[in-house]
Amino acid sequence: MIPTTLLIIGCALALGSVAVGGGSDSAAERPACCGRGLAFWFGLFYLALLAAVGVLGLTGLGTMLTGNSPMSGWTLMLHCSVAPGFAILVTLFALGGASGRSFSGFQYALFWLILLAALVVILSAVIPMTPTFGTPGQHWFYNVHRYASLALFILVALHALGYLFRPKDKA
Amino acid sequence: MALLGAAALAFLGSGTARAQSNQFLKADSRAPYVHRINLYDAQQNPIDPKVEKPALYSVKGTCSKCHEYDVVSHGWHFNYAEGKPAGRPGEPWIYLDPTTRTILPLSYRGWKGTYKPSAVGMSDWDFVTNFATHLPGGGVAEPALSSAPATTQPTTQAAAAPVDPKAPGWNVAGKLEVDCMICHAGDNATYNFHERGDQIVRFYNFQWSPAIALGLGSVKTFPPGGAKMLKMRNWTPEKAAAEPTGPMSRMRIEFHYEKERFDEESHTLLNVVRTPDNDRCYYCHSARPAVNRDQFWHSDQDIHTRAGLQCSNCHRNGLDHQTVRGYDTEGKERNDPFVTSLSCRGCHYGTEAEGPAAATLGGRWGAPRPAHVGLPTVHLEKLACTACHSGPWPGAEPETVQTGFSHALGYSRAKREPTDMPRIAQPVFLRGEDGKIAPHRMVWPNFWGYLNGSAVTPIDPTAVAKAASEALPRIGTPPPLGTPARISAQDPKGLEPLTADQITKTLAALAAGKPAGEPVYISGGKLHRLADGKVVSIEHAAAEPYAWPIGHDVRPATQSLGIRGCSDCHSTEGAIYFGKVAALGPVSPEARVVKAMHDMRNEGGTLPTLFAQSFLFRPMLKYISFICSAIVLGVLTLYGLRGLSFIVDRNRNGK
Repeated sequence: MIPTTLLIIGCALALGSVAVGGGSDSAAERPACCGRGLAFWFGLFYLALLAAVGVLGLTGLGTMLTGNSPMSGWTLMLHCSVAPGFAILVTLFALGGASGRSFSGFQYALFWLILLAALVVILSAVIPMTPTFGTPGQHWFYNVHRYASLALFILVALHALGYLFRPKDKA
Repeated sequence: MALLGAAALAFLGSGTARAQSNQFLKADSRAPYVHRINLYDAQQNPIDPKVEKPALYSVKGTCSKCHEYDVVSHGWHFNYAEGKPAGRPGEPWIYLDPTTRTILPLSYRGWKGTYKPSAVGMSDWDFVTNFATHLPGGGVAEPALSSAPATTQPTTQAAAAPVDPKAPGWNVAGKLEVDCMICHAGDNATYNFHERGDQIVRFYNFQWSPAIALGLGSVKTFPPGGAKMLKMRNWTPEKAAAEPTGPMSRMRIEFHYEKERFDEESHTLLNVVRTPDNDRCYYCHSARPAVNRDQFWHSDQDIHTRAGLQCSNCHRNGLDHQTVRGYDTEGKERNDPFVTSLSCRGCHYGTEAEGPAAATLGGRWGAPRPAHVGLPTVHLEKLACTACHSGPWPGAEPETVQTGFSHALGYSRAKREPTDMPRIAQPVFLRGEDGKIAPHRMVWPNFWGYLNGSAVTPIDPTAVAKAASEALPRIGTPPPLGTPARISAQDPKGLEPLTADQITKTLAALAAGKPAGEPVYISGGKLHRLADGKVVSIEHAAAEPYAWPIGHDVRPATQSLGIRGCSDCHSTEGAIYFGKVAALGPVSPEARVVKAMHDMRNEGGTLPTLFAQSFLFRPMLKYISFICSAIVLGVLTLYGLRGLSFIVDRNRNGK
């Protein structure tokens, strides 16, 4: 009871922070001096996110494509070890990229799709860990996680390619 | 006149036809047929209990008047020596010899890890006299009839049932027919298991035992001691017939019926039911934790029996008596969807096999469909249902259990101690033949053998004791003078491990002469051999334990593994991975093999340990994931609303 209450409070605080911080901190109001520092960290998080998605994709989707699903053993250990880091990096990616200054129009559109897919991937992985859904629900979430992950992997790959071959004035 | 004769013949003929057509009559109703019937002897002659020397009741002779005994007698409980497909491993018969510390799993079915009785010099007769307290008759206990005709005026009733005159023992004791009433007696007052066991094992009164168990009468032998005494004096019906006034003819064995059981037409009422009650099954298929008697009340019954189910509701059979064992792959092995529907999954979930809806839908007998809330579906693929739901709650070490087969539960005896051999461990979580982890019972073999290459052949314990002489002092008295070790109170001396000196001397004694290989001693999970006059111990395949899956007792969902969360199994104390399994038996603690549960499955320990430790962080993973999801959702919502606002403003300005 207490852990659930704390979790609900934490989520509410997070939502509230985004609402307040996002509403008051528009791109036009952010001072220019913060741009280069933030860009460095944002780039770092972005690379880390690409690495995390790569590992998760190899372990998860790779297992599926090679016909060895479900994951087990060391593959599962690696996947579950990287997953929390992925969740944090996606959050930072969302907070840092929401203003759209770092991306071109197409990349910005991909950014929002990535966030949407990531949200589905994270929730479809963690909701079944709660004592809420039975076997049919577990199957459903497993399939949602599987296909959302596939979509996320493709979107991130496209976004990364777009970032690599971006025009120089959008650094 | 000719017409009258023809009419008479026709009348008689129709009567004969009617009598012949009485065979295998069926009531075909759920209502029971009241068996107020005549009893018949082995030749299917009706028995008159009032005569001076009445014929002996024969189960086959009586029951086969209406039922196809020859079909029934090839059912699962009786066909163990017919070489039929044996299915998944089951409980063996365990041969005990305290003198040599022999604990050897035997089975005619050929399951890997068991030995055929003949491999250790045990004849069918020896097998029956050892284990007959829990044998239902038939199989090797009912050897083929000889061609010798039955005598019409037997000096004893022993000659009423023709047997092979050359077979030792059978010609005196008779055959042990399939005793239908073991299962189909309608109540506990009708059939006395203990009395039956006594008659067979202590007195060798094989063919009299069904009548005695039913309380139809009693047997008297002269001299006293049953057919065993006659056998020990080399009595045979032929010798008695050959010397009408000699000592052999004075020996006899007679059965006297309780005349009150019969009416004037020699009918008696047998309380017969189609569906056996649980108590019938429990005589052989009981198990209890090896604890002191004052702790019996600690354990619960199976949830299905508490819900009102009978064993035979799931473990069914037709006339062929191929009783359903109830494991998942049995239906596929037998190519019968109805059999699949009687497994755990088949009953609770239904099956995907093609077949009638009643068999494939699931929910039979109102079986609830499990929700398995919060359980990742991979568990349903990697674990058998029994892993979480059956057997005792797993602890740091398996507990020991005593069973009907191995400890003659149901057969009354003075003392049955928790330390009695064989010591059977449960639950031990191993992979079954279908690759799924399931709880097993396990026994570690202990025996002397000859090593040839990589195979070890057991040596007859009698030969070992004879060779070892004083190195292995005699403990207990084996049959025929004594009783089998499994029904005797066990001498504590027979539970003590052998010393290194005893092992050395015995191995040396076995090596003298012309051994059939290198003598070895299997004990405590290791093979012990002599090297330069000293005992050397190694792990060997022949020393591995024999294990068989268990299905009962089933615990309710509220007592299943995982009810307290993932850490029931996924923790550093989870028994399914880290429980300690020690080789049990007459072996000293420092000499025996001890393995972790994952080792028993030949799985490494690093991954389970790391995986178990990672579950400490599982709550944190959930918190982080939900909070991060909330933040991402917040960003999506905020900018989504902004985008919506932008579109609305543009449309408004555009107007």
